[in-house]
Amino acid sequence: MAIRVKEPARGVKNRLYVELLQGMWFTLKKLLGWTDVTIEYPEEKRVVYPRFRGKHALTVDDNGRLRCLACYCCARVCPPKCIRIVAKETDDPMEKMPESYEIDLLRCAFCGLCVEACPCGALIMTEDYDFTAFSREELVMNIEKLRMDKR
Amino acid sequence: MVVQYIVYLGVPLIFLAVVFTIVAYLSYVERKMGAFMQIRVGPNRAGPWGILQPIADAIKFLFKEDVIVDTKDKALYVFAPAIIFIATFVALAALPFGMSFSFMGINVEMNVVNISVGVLFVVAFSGIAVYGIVLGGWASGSKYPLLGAMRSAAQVLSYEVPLTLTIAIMVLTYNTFDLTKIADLQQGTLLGFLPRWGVFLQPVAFLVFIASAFAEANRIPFDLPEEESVLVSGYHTEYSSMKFAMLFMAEYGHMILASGLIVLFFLGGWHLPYINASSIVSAFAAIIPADWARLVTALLLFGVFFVKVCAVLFVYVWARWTFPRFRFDQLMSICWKVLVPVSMVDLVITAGVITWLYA
Repeated sequence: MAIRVKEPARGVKNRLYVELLQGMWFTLKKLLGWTDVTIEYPEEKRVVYPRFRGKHALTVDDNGRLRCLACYCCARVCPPKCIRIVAKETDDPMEKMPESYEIDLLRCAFCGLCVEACPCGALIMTEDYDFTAFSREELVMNIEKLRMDKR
Repeated sequence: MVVQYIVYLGVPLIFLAVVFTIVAYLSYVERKMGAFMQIRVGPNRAGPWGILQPIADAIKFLFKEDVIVDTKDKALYVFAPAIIFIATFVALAALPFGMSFSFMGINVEMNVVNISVGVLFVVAFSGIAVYGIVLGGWASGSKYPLLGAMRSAAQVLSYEVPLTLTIAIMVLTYNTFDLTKIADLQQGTLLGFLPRWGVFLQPVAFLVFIASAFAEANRIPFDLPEEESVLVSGYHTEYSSMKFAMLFMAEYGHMILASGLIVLFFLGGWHLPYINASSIVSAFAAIIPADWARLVTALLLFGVFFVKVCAVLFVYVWARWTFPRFRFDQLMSICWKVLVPVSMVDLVITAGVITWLYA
């Protein structure tokens, strides 16, 4: 059984298809206006917001030593468990150092919890988002690739 | 003598080349115009302003993997795009595109075939395209193409009715089936100040024809059978590379055919408004020899025809990027409840007026 739905009454303007022509005039204006909102990557890039979560970096202090103390906070909080750390002893009896520190970027969700968890500000996330590689091994970041000497 | 045959062969080949170029670049124009209408930039990587994009598409189609689905009707599946393609391009053969003239004893016919019943020829062959749609959808062996093909067949067949009625109105108005004569009858003025174009003689038929031509070519706002969001691609879904390219070219060829018919029936063909072709020839003949005057006039009038067809094609593209599409039942009710009664009444009125004026 069909139910007749009450349709709104069509006025004179509708019967003369005025709205159709208004629509066509709008698109014509846009066509002749010759503007566009396209950001043409890679020549132009969108400016990222201040705390953008890109590729990670390990910072160093003024003496050139890695700030990372291998406390495992980042590895513990990481949801996909992509951070692997092997710690080693240093001369200072209170501090450790990472012997190897690997972040598997293929599993990383770029959530930023590791940066929040780091107690000494060793791990940060940069603005780098368009990194590519030709093999899976290249995207497993170790200390050499992560070390960021400035700042 | 030999030159005459070279001309008889050469003009259709040039026409074919021009039509294929227009088909290829229509896809580019559609993408670019659509992009600007949506305040974005269209293709701009393949060559300056993306002009080489159709060539890049052609290369892609050549190298793409040609998939043949595993159905029982492989022959039909492969042949269906060819049916649509052949039907559309054979119908294009009957379109005249300029003033035929003679140049130093050589007859140059500005059409591929000079058919005295050109209107019937075009209508007949564009009706054959339905076979290709239905067979292609059925032989694809999956449900989305089948749905799309059935809807498309219903749509095309339904809109053939107001299309043919409108063409009957125009044939009654011009009293001939010959497309060249129909174009030539649109010289001169009407009521003293309007050019004697079909759009002023028969405005209702013009509107009905435009609506039916959009529906015949499966263009938005009537493109439910092939819309990309609902039916994947309608009956195009299972076709890849060259077969898809043929369907693509057939759709644009159908658009060009419909635009050509609109220009010939309603927009004065290749004639300039208010100026007769013979007065252009005599104007040129005052400066250059008579043969060359005819040649120059014919080229000029071909240019006029080309510009008019391009204007109608632009309206097609403009409408495509402006309107949402009709639901299928709305589409059918527009055809049978609006266009068919209007065109029938218009046909009766036209017949009555012509009988009263000339009986």
